[in-house]
Amino acid sequence: MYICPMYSSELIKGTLKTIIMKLLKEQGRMYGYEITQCVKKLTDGKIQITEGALYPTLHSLEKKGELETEKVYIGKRVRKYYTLSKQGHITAQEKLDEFSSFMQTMESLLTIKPTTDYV
Amino acid sequence: MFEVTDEHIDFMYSDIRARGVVTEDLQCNIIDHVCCLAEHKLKHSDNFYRFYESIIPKFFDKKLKELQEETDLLLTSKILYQMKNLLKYTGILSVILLLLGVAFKMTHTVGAGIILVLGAVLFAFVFLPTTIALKYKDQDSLDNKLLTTVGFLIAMVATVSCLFKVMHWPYANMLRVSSVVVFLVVFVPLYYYVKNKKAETKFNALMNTMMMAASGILLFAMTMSL
Repeated sequence: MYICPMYSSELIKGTLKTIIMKLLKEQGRMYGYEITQCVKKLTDGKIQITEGALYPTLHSLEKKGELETEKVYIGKRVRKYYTLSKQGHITAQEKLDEFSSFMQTMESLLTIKPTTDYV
Repeated sequence: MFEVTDEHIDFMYSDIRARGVVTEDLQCNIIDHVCCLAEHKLKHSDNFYRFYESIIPKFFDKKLKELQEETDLLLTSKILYQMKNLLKYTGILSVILLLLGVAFKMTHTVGAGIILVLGAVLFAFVFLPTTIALKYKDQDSLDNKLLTTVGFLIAMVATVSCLFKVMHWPYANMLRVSSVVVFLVVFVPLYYYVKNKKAETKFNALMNTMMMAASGILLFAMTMSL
């Protein structure tokens, strides 16, 4: 469901919620298109979130109470702004900590060159 | 900057609905997204409808309904997880209770009846209905959904009839005969009809139907001779 010109979808699968929540934590209030453009800009186009992945995830986060929404009417068009709820702020921090720890583990796992024979 | 009109919005609402996106919030999100793209990419004189037809396939792999399906999947995943857990624990517990109940019954130990009732009720009214709900969702066609549901409903009645028989309660035989008759008259032909339609299950359909029919008839004969 991602379009990732640089990374395989397997590599970043499961990070979408973390990305969305981190952005909302920093930016406060955002709408869907804005999120896709922000991710594209921040990653120099290396990660591009598709609409097919973004909106179902936003909807699911909203139903779980992680996000709060505000509807703004522009004529007949409705724009939904998303913000982190109180619970969402806690979850966002947990997800960031978890991902940061995972990154450190992966880094140490992939950069260490074994000098000891384990046989 | 291109200006999206109310007419364009109405067109998109009806098109998105026709493509299977039924959640209103999701419709709003998609429309707002298309509007943003149009405002950024189109010139004042460009044709919006042509742009819409070219941009909308980028939202999905095969069809727009995928967004609705993905949303539904994400929303129900927690419930499904809870249902699977419920299925696991009630299944284990009901089997343990039924085994204990039978053991107590055979050794004439006090409490056999209560344990058997608890085990059978748990199995018939929690485990089997949960299985129906989960299996119903998994089946791809309406035929298979119906077959699974009928099968498990018969299993519920059969379980209750066994319990009634063991507990010497009234209507046990009636329940047992009903479940066997419905099995033979409804389930077995339905099974053959559904499975015989697919080439890959055609041979097994005949074999299984014969086996089920023979078993059902023997069970019916045994029930009637009791």
